[in-house]
Amino acid sequence: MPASLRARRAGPVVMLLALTLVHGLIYLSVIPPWQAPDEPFHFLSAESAILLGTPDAAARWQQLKSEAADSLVQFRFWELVIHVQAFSTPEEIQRNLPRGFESAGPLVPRAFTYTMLALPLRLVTGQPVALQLYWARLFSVLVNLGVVWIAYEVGRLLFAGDPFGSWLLPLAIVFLPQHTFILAAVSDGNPAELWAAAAMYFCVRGIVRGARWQELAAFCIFSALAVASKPTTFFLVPIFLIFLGGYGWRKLPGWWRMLVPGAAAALVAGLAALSERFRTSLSLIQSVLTPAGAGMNGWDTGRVVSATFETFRGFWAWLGWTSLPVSDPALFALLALTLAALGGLIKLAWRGWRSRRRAWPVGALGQVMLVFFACIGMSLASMGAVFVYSGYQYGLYESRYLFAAIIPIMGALVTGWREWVPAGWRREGLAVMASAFFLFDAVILLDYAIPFFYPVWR
Amino acid sequence: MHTRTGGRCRWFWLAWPLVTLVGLGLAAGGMLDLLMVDGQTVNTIQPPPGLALASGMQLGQTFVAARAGLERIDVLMFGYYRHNTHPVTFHLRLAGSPDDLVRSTFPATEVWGWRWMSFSFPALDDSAGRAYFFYFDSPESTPGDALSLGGVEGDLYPRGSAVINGQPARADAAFKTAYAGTTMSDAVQALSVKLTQHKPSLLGALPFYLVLGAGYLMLVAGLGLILAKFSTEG
Repeated sequence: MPASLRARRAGPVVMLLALTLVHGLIYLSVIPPWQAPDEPFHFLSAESAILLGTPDAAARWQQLKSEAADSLVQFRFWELVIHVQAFSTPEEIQRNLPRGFESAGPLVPRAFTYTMLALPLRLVTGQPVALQLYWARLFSVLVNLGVVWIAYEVGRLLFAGDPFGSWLLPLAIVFLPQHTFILAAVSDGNPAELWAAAAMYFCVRGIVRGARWQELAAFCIFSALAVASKPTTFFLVPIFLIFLGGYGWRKLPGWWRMLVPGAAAALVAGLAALSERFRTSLSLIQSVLTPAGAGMNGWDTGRVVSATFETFRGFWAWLGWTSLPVSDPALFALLALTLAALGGLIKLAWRGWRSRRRAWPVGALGQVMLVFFACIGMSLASMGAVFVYSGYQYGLYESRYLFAAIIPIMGALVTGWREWVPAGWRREGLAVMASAFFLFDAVILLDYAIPFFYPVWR
Repeated sequence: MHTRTGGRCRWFWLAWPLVTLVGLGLAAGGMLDLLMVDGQTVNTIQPPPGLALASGMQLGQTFVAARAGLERIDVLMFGYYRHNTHPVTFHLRLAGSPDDLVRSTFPATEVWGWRWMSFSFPALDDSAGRAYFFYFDSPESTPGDALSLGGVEGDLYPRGSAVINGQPARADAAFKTAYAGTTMSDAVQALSVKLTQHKPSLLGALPFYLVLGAGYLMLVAGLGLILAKFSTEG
């Protein structure tokens, strides 16, 4: 490809990434320090990765905790968190410090994510704690650049030559307020999301262009990195195994193919026999499906429905420590848009069924949609299982856990919407949808975030 | 096969940026409106029927006036998505006082779902820093024909709390207080101070936010041009 053409094609992508960067910087600077869920814990965990093993770790830990606690007071942390009262005395503050502060010594990072987060923090060691926090946030914003770029590449793979799909997929992620909010804060889920997005890219590439060992290897490596970063990406494991099975089925000759179902059965049996954790998971699923009273918690339909609704709300916009939700009218509009996308996907499935075409676009797109739905379904199911298992207390409200499947979720939504836009109107459709997402984000930032986080008369 | 006339297409690409710009202007205007008032605007509750203004129930909120010239209070009310019929009375008092400074009665028919109700009164010149208490009652309302208030269960407004039948509750109503003489320029100035307060390095300087905002709008416009270009290139 000539250099001039390459540069011409790269221009819009550079513009998209620049927009992502600046948009992320806006969220980074507007959201006050510590106001993302568990941000103090994630920050202290990353700092611990630096402190551990140093000779004066205990003293430096105490100093860090003290500086961070002062910063919480300075930025009025408790006044903006809904579930705790605004404290005034030092004793009250000490009693109500968020997770991470209770430890007498540096926290032991539970995943290698924190080692990664610690890398940029090493450059600002010794600086004021608020500056260190913003620096760590900048790392998250850069991670978001990677996610958006991968989304753009997935869009190009899925909707080659169609700007509606290929551009709306990354733009919908850029202008998704909750996503930018989390990806401009310190969170262990952010690197996990990047790895999961990369794994998903190679999965989609393998389906669309035909899987080679290179796609398989990349899918495997990125899935492993994602799972090692955060358990919310576990859904990649069965997807990868199915992908591997499909690859084996196509490559193996004749009866050798039977090795694939054989290996699958052996894997399940082996895990059940050897792994305590796998057995626990199976019993958890069994108990969740058990009628009320007989299992660990049983079903509480009302709570599950309400939690599902609130999770949906939290996916779009619920800023702060779930303090600032998007209003009901906006929620109903988003619900209508999501239902329209689901309708579009049903239309696509019906079209595929009627045409019986195995060739592109319906065949490969259909397969990718199946993978996307499997990812979304497993991601939701694991959150739901935790919610039921915990006595309806935790899990399902943590909508940010869904961001590990952001490419499948947005990919499915965009594919569904695309079905309703006539082929000759795709560019106009893209403009309308991009504007709608941009305005939604603007409303969340201007009419929710700024007045809430900066009550100017107090 | 779908066909389009060039004229129709041209109109779309002319109207699209204008509509987007109007939407952005409305969002910015909404922000300025919110910056000019104080209070607590978050609503996360769906009031249960037992929390309705029926059977002698009183619901209210204590607050401290942020400035002099308190002249309006907006309260988020909930009508349970039904036709409610009985009159509801708004009372405003100085905290601890048995006398109403303001009393206003309105028909519950005005509230069906969620609605911000405004109560205006002559400006209270000495309101700055004083604690007030507003509440609603509706002696004639019955369960199934009564309103309630929106707000949060928890504590988001640090200078007061919800009051249920005269007892403080660990909750806050959703309300806004407006003050005479507050200008947009006051609000923007106060925001610029709050936005940069205690923040380190560049983040503590207002020009940083202005450059960021301007850069963002330019990039959005640039991306819009690219989308429009897709249309002309076909």
